[in-house]
Amino acid sequence: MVYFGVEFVPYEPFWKTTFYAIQAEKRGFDYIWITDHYNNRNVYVTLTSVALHTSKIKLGIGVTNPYLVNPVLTAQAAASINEIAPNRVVLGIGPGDKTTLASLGVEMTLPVAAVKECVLIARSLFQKGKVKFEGKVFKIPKAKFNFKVIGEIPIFIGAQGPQMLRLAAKYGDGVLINASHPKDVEEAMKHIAKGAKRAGKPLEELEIAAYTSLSVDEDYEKAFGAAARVVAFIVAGSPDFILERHGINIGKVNEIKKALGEARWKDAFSIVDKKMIDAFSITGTPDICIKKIEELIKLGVTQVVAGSPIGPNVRKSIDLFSKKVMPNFK
Amino acid sequence: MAIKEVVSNFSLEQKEKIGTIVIDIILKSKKGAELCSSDARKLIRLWQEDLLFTDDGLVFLLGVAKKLEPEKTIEKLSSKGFSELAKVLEEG
Repeated sequence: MVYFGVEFVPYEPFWKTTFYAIQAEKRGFDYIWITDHYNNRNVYVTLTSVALHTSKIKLGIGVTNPYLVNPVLTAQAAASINEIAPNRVVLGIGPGDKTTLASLGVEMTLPVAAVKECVLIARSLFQKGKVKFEGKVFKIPKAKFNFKVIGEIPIFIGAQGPQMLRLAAKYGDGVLINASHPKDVEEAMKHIAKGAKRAGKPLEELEIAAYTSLSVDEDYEKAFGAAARVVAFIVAGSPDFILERHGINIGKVNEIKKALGEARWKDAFSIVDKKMIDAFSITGTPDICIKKIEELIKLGVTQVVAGSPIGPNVRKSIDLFSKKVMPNFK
Repeated sequence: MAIKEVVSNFSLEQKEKIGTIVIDIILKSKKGAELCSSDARKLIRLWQEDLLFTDDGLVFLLGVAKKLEPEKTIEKLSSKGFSELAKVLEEG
C-alpha cells in the first residue's frame, strides 16, 4: 500500500493552507504535513484549522524539533489536536535546522539524543498520560496530563544522516527522508534497514516517507520553472558529498549561492539545470512523475510526500497529481 | 442588472469556468492576508461544503476577488469571454 501526502509551508494566510488541505482530502491524499518554522504561521494553529475543516486526512506535524519547545508541550499540542481529530494526528520530530536555531540563540546540542528523548517523552505521554524521564538532554521529574489521549498518535522521525536514520528506524513508527532521488533513498534505506534489524523490528512495520520537492504540470517547462525556485535553495544547502553523488557542477552551485546571497533570485534560478532538478525534485509531466515515484517505491518508500512547490499553480497541480499520478499506485 | 442575476443566467459549465478563474485569482493574490477573517472563514466553509460554484458561492467569490484584485479580476473575466459579468462587477 502506498500513501500520498502533501506538504505545506504555512507562510501564507491560514485560509489558503486550509483551502489546499480540503482540496487534498477531496482528491484522495492520505496525509497533509505542515512544516514548523518560527517565522511562518504556527504549525498547531494551522493544523487546528485543517482538522476542523476535514474529516479523514491524516494531519502531520512535519516536522518539529526538540529544542524550541519542551517535548511535554509538543506532546500536549499534538494530543490536543488529536482530540479534535482522533487518530488522525501524526507527530513528526527531527533535529531542526542549525542556522534557524542559531538565529534564535539556540544551540543544537546532542541532536540524536535530543530527538530520541523527545520521542520517548512524547510516546509515554501519549500512551500513559504521564512521564518521568532522566536523559542526556531532558530531565522531566514528573509530568502528567489532566486529560486522556484518545487512540494513537504515531511518531515519525525526520532523518538525514546515518545515525539519525538508524535511530528513526529503531524508535519511530515512521521515518521521513528528505529525498527525491533513488540514489539518496537507496542510501537512506541501508541505514534504516540496519536500525530496524538492530531493534528486531520488521522493516514492514515502519512507514517510510520520502519528503520530496515536487512540481507537476502538463507542460514540462512550466513544471521546471516552478521547481527551479525551490531546487536552487536545496542545491545551495546541500553538502558537497551529496552534490558529488549526483555529478552536480560545483562551480554552478557556487554561482547559485552567490546569487542567492545577493538576493539576485532570477539569476540564481536561471542557473539551476536539469541535473539539479532530477537530483533534488520530482519534476515534470505526470508520466515523468509516475516513473520516478515507481523507482522510490521499489526501494521501499511507502509514502510519497509532495512538497513545495507542488507545481506552477498549486491548485491545478494538486488536481493533476490526484487524477493522473495517484491512480497508478492505488 | 444585479450580479446575482447575471450569474444565474450562466450554464453550470460556465459557472464552473468562472469559479475556477476567480478562485485562481484569489489564491494567487499577494493580498491574501488582507481578506477579513469572516470572509476567509466563509470561503473555507463554502469550499468544504462544495458550494463555491453555486450562484451564491460565485457571487461571494466575485466579491472577494474584486476586493483583493479588482483590476485583474475585471481584465481576466473579460479576456475569457465574460465581458458582461466583468462590466456588472466593475459597476457594482
